[in-house]
Amino acid sequence: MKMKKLLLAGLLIWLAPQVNAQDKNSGDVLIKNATVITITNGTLENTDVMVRKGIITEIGTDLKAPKNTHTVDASDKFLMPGIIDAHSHLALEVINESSSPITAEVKMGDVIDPFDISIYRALAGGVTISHAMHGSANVIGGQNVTLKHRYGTRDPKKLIMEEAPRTIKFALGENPTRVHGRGKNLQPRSRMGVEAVIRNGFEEALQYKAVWEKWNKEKQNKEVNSPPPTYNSRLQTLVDILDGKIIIHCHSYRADEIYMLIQVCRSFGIDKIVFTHANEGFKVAPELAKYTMGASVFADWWAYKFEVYYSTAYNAAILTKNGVVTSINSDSDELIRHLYHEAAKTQRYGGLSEEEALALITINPAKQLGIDKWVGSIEVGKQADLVIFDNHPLSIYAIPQMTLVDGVRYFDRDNDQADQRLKIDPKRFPDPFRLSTGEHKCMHDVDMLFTKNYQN
Amino acid sequence: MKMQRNFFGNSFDKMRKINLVFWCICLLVSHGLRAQIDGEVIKPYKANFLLTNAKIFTVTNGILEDTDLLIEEGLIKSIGKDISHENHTVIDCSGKSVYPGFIDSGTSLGLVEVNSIAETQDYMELGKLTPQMEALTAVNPNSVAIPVTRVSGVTTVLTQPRGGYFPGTAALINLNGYTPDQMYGGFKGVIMNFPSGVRSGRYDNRSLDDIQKAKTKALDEIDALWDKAATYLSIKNKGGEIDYYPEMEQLSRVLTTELLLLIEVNAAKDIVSALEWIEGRDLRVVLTGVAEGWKVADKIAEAGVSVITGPVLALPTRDADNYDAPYNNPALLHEAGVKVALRTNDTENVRNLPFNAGFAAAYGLGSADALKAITLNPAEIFGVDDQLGSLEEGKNATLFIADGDPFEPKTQIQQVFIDGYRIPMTNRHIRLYQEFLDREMKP
Amino acid sequence: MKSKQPFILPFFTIFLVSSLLGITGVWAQSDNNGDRRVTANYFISNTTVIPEPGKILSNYDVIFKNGTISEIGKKLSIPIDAKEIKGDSLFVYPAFIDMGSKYGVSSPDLPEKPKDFDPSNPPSELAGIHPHYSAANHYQLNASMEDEWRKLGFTVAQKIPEGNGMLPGTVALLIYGHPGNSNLLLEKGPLFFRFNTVGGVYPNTKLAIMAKWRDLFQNTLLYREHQVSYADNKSIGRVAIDPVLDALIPLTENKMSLLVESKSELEIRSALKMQEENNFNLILLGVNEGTELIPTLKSKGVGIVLSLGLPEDKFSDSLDESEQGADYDERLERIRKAYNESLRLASHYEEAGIPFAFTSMDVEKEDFFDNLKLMIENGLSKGAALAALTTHPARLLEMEEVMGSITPGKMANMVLMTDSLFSENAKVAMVISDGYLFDYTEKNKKEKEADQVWAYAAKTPVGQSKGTWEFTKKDDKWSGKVSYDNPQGKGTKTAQTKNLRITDESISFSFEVITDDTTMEVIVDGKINENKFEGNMDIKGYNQFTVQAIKKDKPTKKP
Repeated sequence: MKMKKLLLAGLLIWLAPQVNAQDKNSGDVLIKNATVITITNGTLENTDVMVRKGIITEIGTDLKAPKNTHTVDASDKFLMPGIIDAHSHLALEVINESSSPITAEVKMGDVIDPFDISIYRALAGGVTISHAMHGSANVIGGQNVTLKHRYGTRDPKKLIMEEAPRTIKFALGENPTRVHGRGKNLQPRSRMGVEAVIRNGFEEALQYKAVWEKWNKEKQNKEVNSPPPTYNSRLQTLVDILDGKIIIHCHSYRADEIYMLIQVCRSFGIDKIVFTHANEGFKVAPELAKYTMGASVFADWWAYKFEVYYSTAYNAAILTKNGVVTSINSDSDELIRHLYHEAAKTQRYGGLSEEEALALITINPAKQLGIDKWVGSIEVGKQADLVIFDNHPLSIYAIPQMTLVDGVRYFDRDNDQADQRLKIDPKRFPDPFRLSTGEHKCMHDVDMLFTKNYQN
Repeated sequence: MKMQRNFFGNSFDKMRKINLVFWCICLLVSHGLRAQIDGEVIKPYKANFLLTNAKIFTVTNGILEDTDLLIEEGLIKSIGKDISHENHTVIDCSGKSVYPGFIDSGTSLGLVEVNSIAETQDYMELGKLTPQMEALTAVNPNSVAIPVTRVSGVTTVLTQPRGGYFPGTAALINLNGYTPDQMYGGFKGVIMNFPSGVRSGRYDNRSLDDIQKAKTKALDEIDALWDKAATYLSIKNKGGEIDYYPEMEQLSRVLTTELLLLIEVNAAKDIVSALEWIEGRDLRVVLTGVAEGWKVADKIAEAGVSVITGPVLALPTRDADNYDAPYNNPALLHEAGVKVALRTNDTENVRNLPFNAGFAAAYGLGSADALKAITLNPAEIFGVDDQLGSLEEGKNATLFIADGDPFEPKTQIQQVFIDGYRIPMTNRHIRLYQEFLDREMKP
Repeated sequence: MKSKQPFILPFFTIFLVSSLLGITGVWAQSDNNGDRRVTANYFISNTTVIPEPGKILSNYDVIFKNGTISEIGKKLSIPIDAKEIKGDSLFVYPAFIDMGSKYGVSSPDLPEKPKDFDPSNPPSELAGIHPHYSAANHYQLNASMEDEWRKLGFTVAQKIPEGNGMLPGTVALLIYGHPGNSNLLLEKGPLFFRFNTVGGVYPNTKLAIMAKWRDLFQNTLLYREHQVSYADNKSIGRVAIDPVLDALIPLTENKMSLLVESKSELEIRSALKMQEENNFNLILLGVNEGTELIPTLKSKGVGIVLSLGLPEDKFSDSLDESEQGADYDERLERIRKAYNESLRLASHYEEAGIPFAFTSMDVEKEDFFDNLKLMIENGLSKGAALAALTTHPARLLEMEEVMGSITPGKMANMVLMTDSLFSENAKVAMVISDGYLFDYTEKNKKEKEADQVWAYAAKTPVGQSKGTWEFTKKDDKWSGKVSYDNPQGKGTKTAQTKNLRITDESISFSFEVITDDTTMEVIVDGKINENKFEGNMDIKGYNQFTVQAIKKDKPTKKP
C-alpha cells in the first residue's frame, strides 16, 4: 500500500510540471459550449471549438481535448472571430513622414513599437488584428503593416502578421492640401493638385520601370552600353502598386475625390483599392461596389472637418445594401476598444442585421487587408483569433471576457491586472496624467496645422 | 436730348422695352406657372398627444406597464390606465417604451459647427477671466448637429464655454426652438477650471516642485479674483457706487449662491485639492470631469458634492491604470455615495450619451442608476427637477418613444417630444440616407 | 661622462647667444613658459603595474621613450637620459580610451540653401547626409577641456562628428597629448550614423531615415558598379562624382564599420534590421538598455559601446500622492527595478562575454568614476570595467597593436593612481599621454598631520617587520594609513586602513597587502596602555604574529 501511495505521489509530481506547462503560450485550447458566431456559416448554439497550435481544427459538439490542453467553459457565452481594425495607428513610433507629398518608400514595419499599452487595451476590446497605417499628411504615404496583437513581446518583428499582403496609404482632400499646399507651398494645394500628384507619380513610375527593364536586359545580354540607373525605392514601390502587388488603402472623404481616384485607378489598371473613412462613400456606392475592394468607414464621426460636414451615420448601411464590402474602423486608440459597439450602431442607423453588422468588423476588414484566407471567421483551418463575450457582442451590455490570438490567451478579464506596461523607462518620469478621449490619429505629428478643439 | 438713365444705368428708351418684357414674365410666373417645389419640410408642432399602452419608465415611480400618458399644453397632463381619447392625437405605443428626455450635462452643442474651422468655433473667448460670456446667446439654434442629436432621445443639454480660468456661463437648453430664448431650459451656471498640480502628458518634464509652484500661482490668482468679487459684492450690498465690471458682477452672483459653480477638475490629486478649496466657502458647487474620481470617491462623497462625469467612452488617464477604469468610474463614484450625472463632453456626437450610459450600466452602475444619471440626477443638479428628469404629472412633456432599451444600439427611437412639441424625426443624416440608399443613376 | 660634454656645449652656446641677442622664442628650442620637457624618456620606479586586466605586477619598473613603452621588468637600470617617476605608492594602469566623445567637435558649415530649395528633395548636406565630412576637420583643440578628460585617465578619444542628420560624417581618433603636437591618430574612422533628422526636410522621421539608408546603400553599390564598368568601357558614360556615395563605398565593401548611435532598444533593433538587409560591420554606440537583445548581439558579433550615463534615482519619489492607491507600492517597485536594471546592464554584457567599450557621450565628467563604481556595485567586475576602458576599445578600433595595455612596443599611455582603481579614495596622480607626463598630484595641498602616529614592530618568522600607523580624525571618523615593509623586496609600501576603531583602550583595523599573486588581508587588534600598544597582527589564511607599537609624540608647534 505504501508503495502504491509512493508511486502515485511520484506520478503526480512528475505530471505536475506538465500540468503547469499549459500556460497561455501553448496555442492549444478547447472552448466548450459557446454560442459560436462563425460569420460565414451562421450562429451555432452550444458548440465547441478545438484549437491546436493556433489553428482551429474542429467545430462541433462534445469535443474531447487531448491531455493537458487548457479548456475554457464558455457556457452562456458568445464566441466570435477576433475583431479586425482596418485603420489604426497603434504600436507605431512615428505616424507621418510629412516632408514630401509622396513617400511610398517608407515602411511602417520599420517603426513598430511593441511597448504601446494601447495594444493591450485593444485586446481587452476584442481586437486581435490592426492595420497599422501611415498618417494622412501625404497624397501617397508609406507602406502599412498588418499587426497581430501578440502583446508581451519586446521584438517588433513578432507583432507582424507574416501572411498579410502589402498595403499602402493614400490620402486625398484637406489633409495633404493643408500640409503641403498651405503649409509648405508644395503641390498639392487643391483637390485638382491631388489628382495631378498621383498621376505624376504613376507616370514617373512607369518611366522608371522602363529604364530598369532596359538596363536589366542589357546586363543579361552582356551588352551594357548605358550606366546603371539610379535606384529609387519610392518609384519602385509605385511600380509595385501598378503591378498589382500592393493594396491601396486611400483616406478620403468627399464623393468627388473618391470618384476621381476610382477613375485614375481604372486608367492605370489598378483594382486593388479600398477607400478608408469615405464619409461620403454612400454617394458613390454603386461605383465603389463595381470597381473597388470596398470601403472602411467610421460608425458616426462627422463634422470635425469641413469635408465631413455632409456625412451620415447611415453610411455603412447604405454601402452594405449597395453591395460594397464595408468595414468599420477606429483610426483611434480609444475607439478601437469598442469596435463591437461601433458596429452595433449600424443596426440603429440603417437597420443592418446582426450578421451584416458583425461582418463589418470581421470578414470584411479581413478581405480588405487580403487576409481573409486566414482570419475573419470561425472555420476549420483558419487561425484561432477569437473573442469570448458574456453577452451578444452587439448589445451595449456586452463585455469581452477573453481574447485569443493564434490560440494564445492574451487577454483574460478574470485575471486582468491593472499595470500591463511592458517597459518602464527609468529615464522618463513615471506615468503622467493624460486626459484623452481619442484623437484622430491620422494627423498625428502634423496636427498643429489644425485648430485644436477643447483647449482647457 | 439728354439720355436719361435709370436705376440700372441703361438708356431709358431701351430699358422701357426690357422692363416691359421683364414684368410680363413675372406676372405670368406668379399667376399661372407656379414654380415646382418638391418635398415638404416637416416642422415641430404642438398638439394634445395621447400615448397609449406604453411601458413607462417614470424614473421616480418605477416602471409602469401598459399605461397611457397624455401630453397637453406642453406638459404631462396625466399618466394612468385607459385615459379617454377625446380628440387627442392618439399614438399607439403597444410594445413600446416611453422615457423622459435624456439630459447631457456637458457639451458645447450649438457653439461650433465644424471643429477644424476656427470661424465656426464660438465656445472659447480670449482671456483667463471671462465668466460673463454667455453660452446661451451664442448658441446657433439652427446648427445642423441639433436635429442630429435630438432624434437619439437626448432632448436637453448643458452647453458650455471653454478655456481660461473662468470660461463663461453655461446654459441648459432644450433642443427645440428657433431662438435661444425658446430653447432655454431654466438653468445657468458659471464654470471654473481648477488649476492642475500634476504632471500632464509625456513631455512634461518639470519637477514636482515646479508643477506645484505653477499650480499654487494659478490658484492664488484665482483666489485673488474671488476676493475681488467679494469686495465688489459687499460694496454693492451696502449700496455703494461701483463702476461697470461685468466679470465681477457675474462672480458675485456665484458668491450669493444665485448661480451654481461648475468646477472642472480631473486628476485625483487635483480633485482632493479642489475639495479642500471648496471647504469653508459657502458656495453651491458641482465637480465636472472627475476622470480620476474613482481613486478618491470616498473623499468626494464625504464632501457631499455632486459630480458630472464623462465621457465614459474614454481612455484611462494613466498607462498603469486598468483598461476599464473610465468605464468603471461612474459606478465606483455611485457606490461611494456620490450623486453622478453623465456627459459626453462632445459637440457633434452628443447622440452617443445613451451609449455612454449603457457602458456605465454594463460596468457596474446598472441600468436603473445609469438612467437616473442622464435624467433625474442632472435635473436635480441644475435645479430643474420640477420640470424635467422624470415622467410625472405636471412635468414638461419632454420625452420619447422607443421600441426597446434606448441604451441598446439596435433600438429605434421612434418619436421625440420636447415641451409637448412633436419633433420631426429627421435630420440631414436621415435625409442623405433617404436620397442615397438607392441612387438611381448607376455606372 | 664622455657623452655629457659635447651635449652641454652646443646647448650652452645657443643659450648664450640667444641671451646676448636678447631674443627669446625666436629659436624653436627656447621656451619662455617652461612648458617644454627636458627629456622624452621616463622611468617609473618600483611601482605596481596592472598591464592589463587581471594581471598585477608588483615592484616593477616601466621605461618609456619617445612615446613608446620600451621595457617593463623588475630591478631595471634607469637609463641616464630618463627622468625618474617614483612609483612606490602608485598603481599604473593603461590609460582609458573613450569610444565616443563629442567634446570639442563643432558643427560643420553647411552650404547655402539654393534658390529653388525644395524641402521634399533637399541637397544631401542640408538633409544632414554628409558622411564625407570628418570630425577631424571640425575639431577645435581646447587644451583645458582635453586636460579635464585627461585628468580622469582618458588619453585616447574617438571624436564623433557633429550633425543633426543621419550621417554626420566619419569619426576621428585623437590623443590628448601635448597641445603643440599633431594629435590626430586616425582621420577616417568608422562612419557615424544616428536616428536623427535635421527637421523640416526629407528625411524628417525615422521612417524616411530607414528608407533613405536603403536607397543610399543600393545606389552606392550601383555607383561602384558604374565606376568599375567605366574603367573598362568608356562608352557607358562617365561617373558623376558624388562625395556621399564615395564615402559609403568602403562600408559596402566591409572595409569600414558603421557606428550607430543607439539610445534605446528599439533603435538597437532598427540598427540590427539595417544590418540584416545590407551586410556591413556594425558597432552600436551609447547602448543603455535592452538586456534581452544581448544573445542576438553576441551571435551577430556586433561591436558594443555602452553608455557611461546612468539615470538618476529621483524618480522613486515622483509619484503623485494620489497614487497612494492599492498598487502604489507595486508601481514604485517597478520604477526601482527598472532603475536597478539599468545599473546592471554592463554586468549582463560581461556575463555574456561580450567585449564592450564605453563612451562618455551621456555622462558629466564629475559622474564618470561614480557611475563606474555604481556599475561595479551592481555586478560589473573591476576587471571588466578596466577592460572596457582599455583592451576592448583598442580591439574595436583595430589598434590593439599600439594601445590598450602596458606592453613594450605600445604607445606610452598610462594612468597612475594613488590607490587601486575603483577603490574609495583612489585619485588620479599622473597621466602619461603620448609619452608626455601630466602631473595631477595635489602637491600644494598640505597633508593634514595625523592625529596619532604609532611606530610598530611585528615579530614574524623572517624577522621584524616595522612601519608606522598614522591615524587621522575628521568629522568624528577615523581613517588611517599603514606603512609596512615591502614583503617582496626593498622599500616600504602604504595602505589605507579599513574598519578602523580607536578607543582609549584599544585599536583595531585591517588593511590589504597586494602582491604579484594574491591580496592578503591583515587584521590588527590590540590594547592600549598609555602610549604603548600590544596586540596581534593576523594575516588571514596564514599566521598570526604579535605586534607592539609606541605612540610617537606629536611635534609641538614652535611659539
